Amino acid sequence: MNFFSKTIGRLASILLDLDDTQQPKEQIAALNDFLTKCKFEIDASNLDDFLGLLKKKHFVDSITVSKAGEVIASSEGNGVGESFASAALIEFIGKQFADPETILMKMPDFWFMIFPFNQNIYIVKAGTNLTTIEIRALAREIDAFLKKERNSRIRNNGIMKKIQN
Amino acid sequence: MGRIITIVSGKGGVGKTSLTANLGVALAQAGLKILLVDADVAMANLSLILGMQSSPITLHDVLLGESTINDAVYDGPGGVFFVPSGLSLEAYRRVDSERLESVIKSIQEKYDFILIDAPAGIEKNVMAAIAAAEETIIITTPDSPSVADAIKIKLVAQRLGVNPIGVIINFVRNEKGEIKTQDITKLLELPVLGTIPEDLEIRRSFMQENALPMILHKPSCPASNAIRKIAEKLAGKNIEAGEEKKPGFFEKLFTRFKKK
Repeated sequence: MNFFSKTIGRLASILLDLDDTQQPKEQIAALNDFLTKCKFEIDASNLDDFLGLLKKKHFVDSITVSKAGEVIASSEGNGVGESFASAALIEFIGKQFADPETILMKMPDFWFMIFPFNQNIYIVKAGTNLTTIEIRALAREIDAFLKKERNSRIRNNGIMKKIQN
Repeated sequence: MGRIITIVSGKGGVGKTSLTANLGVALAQAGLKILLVDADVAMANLSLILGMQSSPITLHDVLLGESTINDAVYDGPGGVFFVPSGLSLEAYRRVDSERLESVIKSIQEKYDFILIDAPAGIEKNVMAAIAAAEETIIITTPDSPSVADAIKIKLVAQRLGVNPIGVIINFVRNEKGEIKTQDITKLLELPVLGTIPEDLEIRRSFMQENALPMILHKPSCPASNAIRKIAEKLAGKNIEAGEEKKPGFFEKLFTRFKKK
């Protein structure tokens, strides 16, 4: 019964042309256009370029990576003051309260986010605040890049030593 | 180590929660140990679809640090295990969804699959549900608003470093105006894991005194068959359809008298 009623229903729908819907071709084109604008390639040979690409991917204004107050890399090519102040701030808050997971600071025109992760400090400046989840994802990407860079340096050094021997 | 997969859609109302429940049951029917997690901490619905609305300890309590995740795991229908989310608005305001990742990872070894039902949208709670997993499956319907939101949620998942493994197209009616499967594949740059026909049985399954996932309520209906095929792809083995439990004459008669 169910099968027959469905078949008759389908036949009637075709004969009476009840399906008056149409392929939304313009909407599909708009979605394709949207996609071309949000493509992000993060293939970079050095950390500074990588940070520049990550800025676009994560919609932030600047990224600085520091260790013990010293700058490892910055998307803006500087970041000495930020690195030093962030290290001091984390130490101060750690002593006064508890070890912070993230420090968020709202400025009149932007946000500052400081995120300690795997012995480095990630300092991100953006128009709006990122969640800790987003900052952690960003930090993990940079951390993976740093590890890859370090491993390839060790491998190259090994090859050089073999050649010298 | 089990696989942790978050089911996301971007847009609400595309059948994400019922699909999570049914996919979980289908995988459990393959003999796998499945945990379903309702990560929709604001609008928890999975418990209603599973017919488990009165669970005393929920994910809210776990995220508040008042209970352990093991205390919040319940035996669900069809052999699945289930972590419900609470309905309390007060607890929702207090929970830190960012703790979800560490909570889920702490029980990863105990299950073959952990399926996380994410909320709709791209806000913080959605990101927390995505970040708690290693893979995501995107659900969409074959229309442009839903596909647009699916594209956005895919980009969010990629930003969070979580791998989208495929897309499921739900509520397919084969109308002329529907966006074709190959167009969705092209737009999302993801393989289609399956298409599920629109089926009245989905709604009927939870419009019951004792709600059950459709795959248990009507195991041979077209939508159940389609979900089983998707589960077979994920599990890598065949899954037999369970037997439909039809009430006998006396059971029907008793129910009729009970109602009156």
